[in-house]
Amino acid sequence: MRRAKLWILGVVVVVTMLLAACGAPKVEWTLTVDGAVTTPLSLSYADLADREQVDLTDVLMQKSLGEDETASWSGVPLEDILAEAGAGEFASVTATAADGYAIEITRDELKGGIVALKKDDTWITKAEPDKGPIRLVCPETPANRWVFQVQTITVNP
Amino acid sequence: MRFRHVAYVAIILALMLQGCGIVWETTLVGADGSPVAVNRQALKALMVEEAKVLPVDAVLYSAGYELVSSVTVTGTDGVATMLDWAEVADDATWHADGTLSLGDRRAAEMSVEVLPAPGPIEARPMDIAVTAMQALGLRPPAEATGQALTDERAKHVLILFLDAFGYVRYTEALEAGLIPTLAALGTPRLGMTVYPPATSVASAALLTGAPPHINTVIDRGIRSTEVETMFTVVKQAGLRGVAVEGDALAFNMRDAELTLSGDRDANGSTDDNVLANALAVLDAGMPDLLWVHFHGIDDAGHTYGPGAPEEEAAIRTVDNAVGQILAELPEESLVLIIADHGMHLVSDESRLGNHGHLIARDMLVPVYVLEP
Repeated sequence: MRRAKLWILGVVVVVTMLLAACGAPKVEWTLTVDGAVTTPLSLSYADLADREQVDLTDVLMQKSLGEDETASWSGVPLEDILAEAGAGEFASVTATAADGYAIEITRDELKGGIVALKKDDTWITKAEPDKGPIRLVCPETPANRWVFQVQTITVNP
Repeated sequence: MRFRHVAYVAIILALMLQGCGIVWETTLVGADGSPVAVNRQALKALMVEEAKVLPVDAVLYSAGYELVSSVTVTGTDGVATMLDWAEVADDATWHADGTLSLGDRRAAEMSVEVLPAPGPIEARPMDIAVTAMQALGLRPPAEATGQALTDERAKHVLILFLDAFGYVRYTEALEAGLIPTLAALGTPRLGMTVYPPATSVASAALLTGAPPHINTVIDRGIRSTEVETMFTVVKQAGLRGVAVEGDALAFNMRDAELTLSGDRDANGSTDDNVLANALAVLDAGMPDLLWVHFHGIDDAGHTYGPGAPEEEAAIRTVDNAVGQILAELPEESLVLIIADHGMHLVSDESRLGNHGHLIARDMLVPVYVLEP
Protein backbone atom coordinates (compact mmCIF):
# COMPACT_ATOMS: atom_id res chain seq x y z
CA MET A 1 0.00 0.00 0.00
CA ARG A 2 2.76 2.35 0.99
CA ARG A 3 4.71 1.49 -2.15
CA ALA A 4 1.64 2.30 -4.28
CA LYS A 5 1.33 5.74 -2.64
CA LEU A 6 4.98 6.44 -3.37
CA TRP A 7 4.46 5.48 -7.00
CA ILE A 8 1.47 7.79 -7.32
CA LEU A 9 3.39 10.62 -5.66
CA GLY A 10 6.30 10.04 -8.00
CA VAL A 11 4.07 10.10 -11.06
CA VAL A 12 2.42 13.33 -9.86
CA VAL A 13 5.80 14.96 -9.34
CA VAL A 14 7.10 13.90 -12.77
CA VAL A 15 3.90 15.05 -14.54
CA THR A 16 4.01 18.36 -12.70
CA MET A 17 7.64 18.88 -13.69
CA LEU A 18 6.90 18.02 -17.31
CA LEU A 19 3.99 20.45 -17.41
CA ALA A 20 6.16 23.13 -15.88
CA ALA A 21 8.85 22.48 -18.46
CA CYS A 22 6.37 22.73 -21.34
CA GLY A 23 4.63 25.90 -20.12
CA ALA A 24 5.70 29.44 -20.63
CA PRO A 25 8.25 30.86 -18.21
CA LYS A 26 7.12 33.49 -15.76
CA VAL A 27 8.14 36.83 -17.17
CA GLU A 28 7.08 40.27 -15.99
CA TRP A 29 6.22 42.09 -19.18
CA THR A 30 3.23 44.00 -20.49
CA LEU A 31 2.44 44.84 -24.09
CA THR A 32 0.08 47.79 -24.55
CA VAL A 33 -1.93 48.26 -27.73
CA ASP A 34 -3.41 51.73 -28.13
CA GLY A 35 -4.01 54.53 -30.61
CA ALA A 36 -6.72 54.18 -33.25
CA VAL A 37 -8.41 51.16 -31.65
CA THR A 38 -11.80 50.63 -30.09
CA THR A 39 -10.51 48.44 -27.26
CA PRO A 40 -7.04 49.29 -25.98
CA LEU A 41 -5.27 46.18 -24.73
CA SER A 42 -2.82 45.49 -21.95
CA LEU A 43 -1.41 42.00 -22.45
CA SER A 44 0.91 40.25 -20.03
CA TYR A 45 3.54 37.78 -21.14
CA ALA A 46 1.30 35.00 -19.84
CA ASP A 47 -1.65 36.38 -21.81
CA LEU A 48 0.41 36.25 -24.96
CA ALA A 49 1.74 32.78 -24.20
CA ASP A 50 -1.82 31.47 -23.67
CA ARG A 51 -2.91 32.51 -27.15
CA GLU A 52 -2.69 30.42 -30.27
CA GLN A 53 0.87 30.53 -31.57
CA VAL A 54 2.07 30.40 -35.15
CA ASP A 55 5.49 29.47 -36.46
CA LEU A 56 7.62 31.39 -38.95
CA THR A 57 10.19 28.89 -40.16
CA ASP A 58 13.66 29.68 -41.51
CA VAL A 59 13.15 33.42 -41.83
CA LEU A 60 16.11 35.30 -43.30
CA MET A 61 17.16 38.09 -40.96
CA GLN A 62 18.70 40.80 -43.13
CA LYS A 63 20.86 42.82 -40.77
CA SER A 64 22.34 46.26 -41.14
CA LEU A 65 25.28 45.19 -38.99
CA GLY A 66 26.97 41.82 -39.14
CA GLU A 67 26.14 38.71 -41.11
CA ASP A 68 22.59 37.84 -42.09
CA GLU A 69 21.09 34.99 -40.12
CA THR A 70 18.28 32.50 -40.58
CA ALA A 71 16.04 31.70 -37.63
CA SER A 72 12.59 30.35 -36.81
CA TRP A 73 10.15 32.24 -34.64
CA SER A 74 6.93 31.42 -32.79
CA GLY A 75 4.39 33.83 -31.41
CA VAL A 76 1.04 35.51 -31.70
CA PRO A 77 -0.04 36.93 -35.09
CA LEU A 78 -0.09 40.68 -34.87
CA GLU A 79 -3.17 40.65 -37.08
CA ASP A 80 -5.08 38.77 -34.35
CA ILE A 81 -4.00 41.23 -31.66
CA LEU A 82 -4.96 44.25 -33.74
CA ALA A 83 -8.31 42.69 -34.61
CA GLU A 84 -8.97 42.05 -30.93
CA ALA A 85 -8.15 45.68 -30.18
CA GLY A 86 -10.61 46.78 -32.83
CA ALA A 87 -8.16 48.38 -35.23
CA GLY A 88 -10.04 49.02 -38.45
CA GLU A 89 -8.42 50.59 -41.48
CA PHE A 90 -5.07 51.98 -40.43
CA ALA A 91 -1.96 53.32 -42.13
CA SER A 92 0.76 52.06 -39.83
CA VAL A 93 1.71 51.18 -36.29
CA THR A 94 4.36 52.73 -34.09
CA ALA A 95 6.21 50.16 -32.01
CA THR A 96 8.03 51.53 -28.98
CA ALA A 97 10.61 49.51 -27.06
CA ALA A 98 11.50 49.63 -23.39
CA ASP A 99 14.68 51.60 -24.04
CA GLY A 100 12.86 54.34 -25.95
CA TYR A 101 13.59 53.05 -29.43
CA ALA A 102 10.62 53.56 -31.74
CA ILE A 103 9.75 52.70 -35.30
CA GLU A 104 6.80 53.30 -37.57
CA ILE A 105 5.85 50.26 -39.63
CA THR A 106 3.41 50.54 -42.49
CA ARG A 107 0.52 48.14 -42.86
CA ASP A 108 2.17 46.46 -45.86
CA GLU A 109 5.34 45.82 -43.89
CA LEU A 110 3.33 44.21 -41.11
CA LYS A 111 2.10 41.36 -43.34
CA GLY A 112 2.71 38.06 -41.59
CA GLY A 113 4.13 39.78 -38.54
CA ILE A 114 4.03 38.17 -35.11
CA VAL A 115 4.74 39.13 -31.55
CA ALA A 116 7.39 36.47 -31.05
CA LEU A 117 7.93 34.66 -27.77
CA LYS A 118 10.24 31.92 -29.05
CA LYS A 119 13.29 31.86 -31.28
CA ASP A 120 14.34 28.51 -32.68
CA ASP A 121 11.91 26.83 -30.26
CA THR A 122 13.49 28.46 -27.22
CA TRP A 123 11.62 31.00 -25.08
CA ILE A 124 13.13 34.45 -25.34
CA THR A 125 12.85 35.87 -21.87
CA LYS A 126 15.80 38.13 -21.19
CA ALA A 127 17.08 41.38 -22.60
CA GLU A 128 20.53 39.87 -23.08
CA PRO A 129 21.37 37.73 -24.90
CA ASP A 130 17.82 36.93 -26.08
CA LYS A 131 16.88 40.47 -27.12
CA GLY A 132 13.59 39.74 -25.39
CA PRO A 133 11.26 39.12 -23.65
CA ILE A 134 9.16 39.71 -26.74
CA ARG A 135 10.05 40.78 -30.24
CA LEU A 136 8.05 42.12 -33.12
CA VAL A 137 9.04 39.99 -36.11
CA CYS A 138 7.92 41.10 -39.57
CA PRO A 139 9.20 38.60 -42.13
CA GLU A 140 8.61 40.95 -45.06
CA THR A 141 11.03 43.59 -43.77
CA PRO A 142 14.76 43.65 -42.96
CA ALA A 143 15.57 42.51 -39.44
CA ASN A 144 16.83 45.92 -38.42
CA ARG A 145 13.14 46.88 -38.38
CA TRP A 146 12.18 44.08 -35.99
CA VAL A 147 11.76 45.67 -32.60
CA PHE A 148 12.78 43.78 -29.50
CA GLN A 149 11.50 44.52 -25.98
CA VAL A 150 8.32 45.98 -27.43
CA GLN A 151 6.20 47.67 -24.80
CA THR A 152 3.69 49.62 -26.86
CA ILE A 153 2.08 49.22 -30.25
CA THR A 154 0.23 52.37 -31.26
CA VAL A 155 -2.11 52.14 -34.21
CA ASN A 156 -1.94 55.14 -36.55
CA PRO A 157 -5.07 55.98 -38.59
CA MET B 1 46.94 65.60 -54.10
CA ARG B 2 48.04 68.71 -52.24
CA PHE B 3 49.43 68.19 -48.76
CA ARG B 4 49.99 70.97 -46.32
CA HIS B 5 52.14 68.68 -44.37
CA VAL B 6 52.90 65.09 -44.35
CA ALA B 7 53.39 63.46 -41.03
CA TYR B 8 55.24 60.26 -41.22
CA VAL B 9 54.19 58.25 -38.33
CA ALA B 10 56.51 55.52 -37.50
CA ILE B 11 54.42 52.74 -36.23
CA ILE B 12 57.19 50.51 -35.16
CA LEU B 13 55.39 47.31 -34.99
CA ALA B 14 57.28 45.85 -32.16
CA LEU B 15 55.41 42.69 -32.54
CA MET B 16 57.82 41.07 -30.26
CA LEU B 17 55.25 38.67 -29.17
CA GLN B 18 56.46 37.48 -25.89
CA GLY B 19 55.63 33.99 -24.91
CA CYS B 20 52.65 32.82 -27.00
CA GLY B 21 51.71 36.23 -28.37
CA ILE B 22 49.71 37.52 -25.44
CA VAL B 23 51.95 40.41 -24.50
CA TRP B 24 52.79 42.93 -27.16
CA GLU B 25 53.09 46.67 -27.48
CA THR B 26 53.53 49.03 -30.39
CA THR B 27 54.49 52.66 -30.18
CA LEU B 28 52.45 54.96 -32.34
CA VAL B 29 53.41 58.58 -32.86
CA GLY B 30 50.28 60.58 -32.21
CA ALA B 31 49.01 63.46 -34.28
CA ASP B 32 50.63 65.90 -31.87
CA GLY B 33 53.94 64.08 -32.01
CA SER B 34 53.65 62.38 -28.64
CA PRO B 35 54.10 58.64 -28.32
CA VAL B 36 50.98 56.54 -27.89
CA ALA B 37 51.26 53.00 -26.63
CA VAL B 38 49.12 50.48 -28.47
CA ASN B 39 48.72 47.13 -26.81
CA ARG B 40 46.05 44.55 -26.11
CA GLN B 41 44.53 46.62 -23.30
CA ALA B 42 44.43 49.77 -25.42
CA LEU B 43 42.68 47.92 -28.22
CA LYS B 44 40.17 46.37 -25.84
CA ALA B 45 39.31 49.82 -24.47
CA LEU B 46 38.43 50.94 -27.98
CA MET B 47 36.43 47.84 -28.89
CA VAL B 48 32.78 47.27 -28.41
CA GLU B 49 32.00 44.08 -26.52
CA GLU B 50 32.52 40.81 -28.36
CA ALA B 51 34.72 42.38 -31.04
CA LYS B 52 37.96 40.57 -31.79
CA VAL B 53 39.41 43.03 -34.26
CA LEU B 54 39.45 46.79 -34.43
CA PRO B 55 39.46 49.03 -37.48
CA VAL B 56 42.84 50.73 -37.78
CA ASP B 57 40.85 53.96 -38.17
CA ALA B 58 39.81 53.64 -34.53
CA VAL B 59 43.41 53.37 -33.33
CA LEU B 60 44.52 56.32 -35.43
CA TYR B 61 41.58 58.41 -34.18
CA SER B 62 42.49 57.60 -30.60
CA ALA B 63 45.96 58.91 -31.39
CA GLY B 64 44.50 62.19 -32.59
CA TYR B 65 44.24 61.66 -36.35
CA GLU B 66 41.04 62.79 -38.07
CA LEU B 67 41.84 62.65 -41.79
CA VAL B 68 44.20 60.14 -43.38
CA SER B 69 45.13 60.25 -47.05
CA SER B 70 47.37 57.24 -47.46
CA VAL B 71 49.56 54.79 -45.64
CA THR B 72 52.87 53.25 -46.56
CA VAL B 73 53.06 49.69 -45.41
CA THR B 74 56.16 47.61 -45.13
CA GLY B 75 55.22 43.98 -45.19
CA THR B 76 56.90 41.14 -43.39
CA ASP B 77 58.82 40.56 -46.63
CA GLY B 78 60.38 44.03 -46.34
CA VAL B 79 58.59 45.47 -49.38
CA ALA B 80 57.08 48.93 -48.87
CA THR B 81 53.83 49.88 -50.63
CA MET B 82 51.90 53.15 -50.57
CA LEU B 83 48.15 52.63 -50.30
CA ASP B 84 45.27 55.06 -50.66
CA TRP B 85 43.51 55.02 -47.30
CA ALA B 86 40.07 55.39 -48.86
CA GLU B 87 40.70 52.15 -50.74
CA VAL B 88 42.21 50.04 -47.98
CA ALA B 89 40.54 51.31 -44.82
CA ASP B 90 37.68 48.83 -45.13
CA ASP B 91 40.12 45.96 -44.77
CA ALA B 92 42.57 47.54 -42.31
CA THR B 93 42.22 45.84 -38.97
CA TRP B 94 44.22 45.52 -35.82
CA HIS B 95 43.81 42.20 -34.06
CA ALA B 96 43.89 41.62 -30.36
CA ASP B 97 47.02 39.49 -30.78
CA GLY B 98 48.85 42.50 -32.21
CA THR B 99 48.59 41.55 -35.87
CA LEU B 100 48.04 44.51 -38.19
CA SER B 101 46.50 43.46 -41.48
CA LEU B 102 45.41 45.34 -44.58
CA GLY B 103 43.43 42.90 -46.64
CA ASP B 104 45.74 39.96 -47.26
CA ARG B 105 48.84 41.97 -46.30
CA ARG B 106 50.48 41.59 -42.91
CA ALA B 107 52.25 44.78 -41.89
CA ALA B 108 55.54 44.85 -40.09
CA GLU B 109 55.77 48.65 -40.25
CA MET B 110 53.46 51.38 -41.39
CA SER B 111 53.64 55.13 -41.84
CA VAL B 112 50.61 57.37 -42.13
CA GLU B 113 50.25 60.36 -44.42
CA VAL B 114 47.89 62.92 -42.98
CA LEU B 115 45.49 64.82 -45.20
CA PRO B 116 45.03 68.40 -44.04
CA ALA B 117 41.47 69.69 -43.91
CA PRO B 118 40.60 72.19 -46.66
CA GLY B 119 40.49 74.92 -44.01
CA PRO B 120 40.32 75.41 -40.27
CA ILE B 121 37.71 73.28 -38.53
CA GLU B 122 35.00 75.69 -37.37
CA ALA B 123 32.44 73.38 -35.81
CA ARG B 124 32.04 69.94 -34.31
CA PRO B 125 28.96 67.91 -33.34
CA MET B 126 29.58 68.61 -29.66
CA ASP B 127 29.05 72.33 -30.33
CA ILE B 128 25.43 71.94 -31.40
CA ALA B 129 23.79 71.15 -28.05
CA VAL B 130 25.83 73.87 -26.34
CA THR B 131 24.85 76.42 -28.99
CA ALA B 132 21.17 75.48 -28.84
CA MET B 133 21.00 75.61 -25.05
CA GLN B 134 22.83 78.92 -24.85
CA ALA B 135 20.46 80.42 -27.41
CA LEU B 136 17.51 79.37 -25.25
CA GLY B 137 19.17 80.69 -22.10
CA LEU B 138 19.66 77.22 -20.66
CA ARG B 139 22.67 75.43 -19.23
CA PRO B 140 24.52 72.98 -21.47
CA PRO B 141 23.96 69.24 -20.95
CA ALA B 142 25.89 67.90 -17.97
CA GLU B 143 28.83 66.31 -19.81
CA ALA B 144 29.03 68.75 -22.71
CA THR B 145 32.48 69.80 -23.87
CA GLY B 146 31.49 71.72 -27.00
CA GLN B 147 31.67 75.45 -27.63
CA ALA B 148 28.79 77.75 -28.51
CA LEU B 149 28.94 78.71 -32.18
CA THR B 150 27.15 82.00 -31.53
CA ASP B 151 26.27 84.18 -28.56
CA GLU B 152 22.90 85.12 -30.03
CA ARG B 153 19.80 84.44 -27.95
CA ALA B 154 16.65 83.12 -29.59
CA LYS B 155 13.10 82.28 -28.65
CA HIS B 156 13.24 79.05 -30.66
CA VAL B 157 15.92 76.76 -31.98
CA LEU B 158 15.52 74.66 -35.12
CA ILE B 159 18.01 71.90 -35.87
CA LEU B 160 17.85 70.53 -39.41
CA PHE B 161 19.73 67.24 -39.59
CA LEU B 162 20.69 66.31 -43.17
CA ASP B 163 21.83 62.70 -42.83
CA ALA B 164 24.96 61.86 -44.87
CA PHE B 165 25.27 65.28 -46.52
CA GLY B 166 29.01 65.62 -46.04
CA TYR B 167 31.06 68.69 -46.82
CA VAL B 168 32.66 67.22 -49.94
CA ARG B 169 29.24 66.28 -51.29
CA TYR B 170 27.99 69.77 -50.37
CA THR B 171 30.70 71.37 -52.52
CA GLU B 172 29.87 69.05 -55.42
CA ALA B 173 26.14 69.68 -55.07
CA LEU B 174 26.74 73.41 -54.94
CA GLU B 175 28.76 73.30 -58.13
CA ALA B 176 26.12 71.16 -59.83
CA GLY B 177 23.32 73.52 -58.85
CA LEU B 178 21.46 70.92 -56.82
CA ILE B 179 20.98 73.03 -53.70
CA PRO B 180 19.57 76.49 -54.49
CA THR B 181 18.11 76.89 -50.98
CA LEU B 182 21.34 76.06 -49.17
CA ALA B 183 23.36 78.08 -51.68
CA ALA B 184 21.30 81.14 -50.83
CA LEU B 185 22.19 80.72 -47.15
CA GLY B 186 25.86 81.44 -47.79
CA THR B 187 28.92 79.38 -47.10
CA PRO B 188 28.59 76.89 -44.25
CA ARG B 189 31.21 76.40 -41.60
CA LEU B 190 33.60 73.53 -42.10
CA GLY B 191 32.71 70.87 -39.56
CA MET B 192 34.51 67.73 -38.47
CA THR B 193 32.30 64.93 -37.23
CA VAL B 194 33.21 62.31 -34.65
CA TYR B 195 34.62 58.84 -35.26
CA PRO B 196 33.22 56.51 -36.34
CA PRO B 197 31.31 58.75 -38.74
CA ALA B 198 27.94 57.08 -38.27
CA THR B 199 24.48 58.39 -37.42
CA SER B 200 24.12 56.95 -33.94
CA VAL B 201 27.59 58.07 -32.86
CA ALA B 202 27.18 61.58 -34.25
CA SER B 203 23.63 61.82 -32.88
CA ALA B 204 24.86 61.08 -29.39
CA ALA B 205 27.51 63.78 -29.71
CA LEU B 206 24.97 66.24 -31.10
CA LEU B 207 22.46 65.57 -28.34
CA THR B 208 24.82 65.40 -25.37
CA GLY B 209 27.48 67.88 -26.44
CA ALA B 210 29.98 65.25 -25.37
CA PRO B 211 32.39 63.21 -27.52
CA PRO B 212 31.97 59.44 -27.93
CA HIS B 213 34.43 58.40 -25.23
CA ILE B 214 32.38 60.42 -22.74
CA ASN B 215 28.82 59.73 -23.94
CA THR B 216 29.77 56.03 -24.40
CA VAL B 217 28.28 55.75 -27.88
CA ILE B 218 31.45 54.59 -29.58
CA ASP B 219 30.02 52.47 -32.38
CA ARG B 220 27.05 52.40 -34.68
CA GLY B 221 25.36 49.48 -32.94
CA ILE B 222 24.75 51.55 -29.80
CA ARG B 223 21.50 53.48 -29.91
CA SER B 224 21.12 55.08 -26.50
CA THR B 225 23.12 56.86 -23.83
CA GLU B 226 22.65 57.52 -20.14
CA VAL B 227 24.43 60.85 -20.49
CA GLU B 228 22.15 63.88 -20.29
CA THR B 229 20.92 65.27 -23.61
CA MET B 230 19.70 68.73 -24.59
CA PHE B 231 16.13 67.42 -24.72
CA THR B 232 16.38 66.53 -21.04
CA VAL B 233 17.68 70.02 -20.25
CA VAL B 234 14.80 71.54 -22.21
CA LYS B 235 12.23 69.32 -20.48
CA GLN B 236 13.62 70.05 -17.03
CA ALA B 237 13.35 73.76 -17.75
CA GLY B 238 9.67 73.34 -18.49
CA LEU B 239 10.18 74.00 -22.19
CA ARG B 240 9.06 71.93 -25.13
CA GLY B 241 11.37 69.89 -27.35
CA VAL B 242 10.04 68.06 -30.40
CA ALA B 243 11.85 65.62 -32.66
CA VAL B 244 10.54 64.78 -36.12
CA GLU B 245 12.28 61.67 -37.34
CA GLY B 246 12.01 59.28 -40.26
CA ASP B 247 10.37 55.88 -39.97
CA ALA B 248 12.79 54.64 -37.32
CA LEU B 249 15.05 56.12 -34.72
CA ALA B 250 18.72 55.91 -35.52
CA PHE B 251 19.22 56.98 -31.93
CA ASN B 252 16.83 57.07 -29.01
CA MET B 253 15.43 60.55 -28.42
CA ARG B 254 14.85 60.44 -24.68
CA ASP B 255 12.71 63.29 -23.30
CA ALA B 256 11.74 64.59 -26.74
CA GLU B 257 8.18 64.67 -27.98
CA LEU B 258 8.62 62.25 -30.83
CA THR B 259 6.94 62.22 -34.22
CA LEU B 260 7.89 59.38 -36.52
CA SER B 261 7.39 59.67 -40.27
CA GLY B 262 6.74 56.33 -41.92
CA ASP B 263 6.59 56.04 -45.67
CA ARG B 264 2.81 55.96 -45.60
CA ASP B 265 2.53 56.93 -49.26
CA ALA B 266 4.95 54.12 -50.19
CA ASN B 267 6.98 56.31 -52.55
CA GLY B 268 10.27 54.89 -51.30
CA SER B 269 11.32 57.91 -49.24
CA THR B 270 10.36 59.28 -45.85
CA ASP B 271 11.63 62.80 -46.56
CA ASP B 272 8.22 63.98 -47.81
CA ASN B 273 6.64 62.50 -44.68
CA VAL B 274 9.24 64.19 -42.45
CA LEU B 275 8.56 67.49 -44.20
CA ALA B 276 4.80 67.13 -43.78
CA ASN B 277 5.17 66.33 -40.08
CA ALA B 278 7.62 69.19 -39.52
CA LEU B 279 5.26 71.65 -41.20
CA ALA B 280 2.42 70.29 -39.06
CA VAL B 281 4.48 70.95 -35.94
CA LEU B 282 5.21 74.50 -37.09
CA ASP B 283 1.57 75.04 -37.96
CA ALA B 284 0.55 74.01 -34.46
CA GLY B 285 3.10 76.34 -32.89
CA MET B 286 6.87 76.27 -33.02
CA PRO B 287 8.22 74.49 -29.94
CA ASP B 288 11.22 75.85 -28.06
CA LEU B 289 13.47 73.23 -29.66
CA LEU B 290 12.65 71.44 -32.91
CA TRP B 291 14.85 68.70 -34.38
CA VAL B 292 14.05 67.55 -37.92
CA HIS B 293 15.98 64.63 -39.36
CA PHE B 294 15.97 63.91 -43.11
CA HIS B 295 17.24 60.41 -43.93
CA GLY B 296 16.79 60.34 -47.71
CA ILE B 297 20.32 61.32 -48.81
CA ASP B 298 21.76 58.59 -46.62
CA ASP B 299 19.31 55.97 -47.87
CA ALA B 300 19.90 56.83 -51.53
CA GLY B 301 23.66 57.15 -51.00
CA HIS B 302 23.92 53.67 -49.51
CA THR B 303 21.77 52.08 -52.18
CA TYR B 304 22.89 53.89 -55.33
CA GLY B 305 26.13 55.59 -54.29
CA PRO B 306 26.97 59.28 -53.90
CA GLY B 307 26.64 61.02 -57.25
CA ALA B 308 24.02 58.64 -58.60
CA PRO B 309 20.88 60.26 -60.06
CA GLU B 310 18.76 58.85 -57.24
CA GLU B 311 21.06 60.36 -54.62
CA GLU B 312 21.08 63.69 -56.46
CA ALA B 313 17.28 63.61 -56.47
CA ALA B 314 17.33 63.05 -52.71
CA ILE B 315 19.63 66.07 -52.28
CA ARG B 316 17.26 68.23 -54.33
CA THR B 317 14.30 66.99 -52.27
CA VAL B 318 15.98 67.78 -48.97
CA ASP B 319 17.14 71.19 -50.18
CA ASN B 320 13.57 71.99 -51.20
CA ALA B 321 12.26 70.76 -47.85
CA VAL B 322 14.74 72.99 -46.01
CA GLY B 323 13.37 75.96 -47.95
CA GLN B 324 9.77 75.11 -47.09
CA ILE B 325 10.53 74.76 -43.40
CA LEU B 326 12.56 77.98 -43.23
CA ALA B 327 9.69 79.80 -44.93
CA GLU B 328 7.32 78.81 -42.14
CA LEU B 329 9.69 79.47 -39.27
CA PRO B 330 8.76 82.21 -36.82
CA GLU B 331 11.12 85.08 -36.28
CA GLU B 332 13.47 84.94 -33.31
CA SER B 333 14.53 81.44 -34.31
CA LEU B 334 18.11 80.24 -34.40
CA VAL B 335 18.66 77.66 -37.14
CA LEU B 336 21.41 75.07 -37.09
CA ILE B 337 21.78 72.94 -40.22
CA ILE B 338 24.06 69.99 -39.74
CA ALA B 339 25.07 66.60 -41.07
CA ASP B 340 26.26 63.60 -39.13
CA HIS B 341 28.73 62.23 -41.69
CA GLY B 342 29.36 62.01 -45.40
CA MET B 343 29.51 59.05 -47.75
CA HIS B 344 31.99 57.43 -50.11
CA LEU B 345 31.58 55.04 -53.02
CA VAL B 346 31.98 51.34 -52.39
CA SER B 347 31.35 48.32 -54.56
CA ASP B 348 29.74 45.88 -52.16
CA GLU B 349 27.11 43.52 -53.49
CA SER B 350 24.40 45.06 -51.37
CA ARG B 351 25.35 48.74 -51.42
CA LEU B 352 27.21 51.34 -53.45
CA GLY B 353 27.86 53.89 -50.73
CA ASN B 354 29.10 53.72 -47.16
CA HIS B 355 30.79 55.75 -44.43
CA GLY B 356 32.95 55.02 -41.44
CA HIS B 357 36.54 56.00 -42.19
CA LEU B 358 38.97 58.82 -41.45
CA ILE B 359 38.61 60.26 -44.94
CA ALA B 360 37.37 63.69 -46.01
CA ARG B 361 34.24 62.34 -47.69
CA ASP B 362 33.12 60.69 -44.45
CA MET B 363 34.45 63.02 -41.75
CA LEU B 364 33.91 66.56 -43.04
CA VAL B 365 30.42 68.05 -42.68
CA PRO B 366 28.83 71.45 -43.42
CA VAL B 367 27.43 73.39 -40.48
CA TYR B 368 25.14 76.38 -40.95
CA VAL B 369 24.45 78.76 -38.08
CA LEU B 370 21.61 81.10 -39.07
CA GLU B 371 21.11 83.72 -36.42
CA PRO B 372 17.65 85.20 -35.74
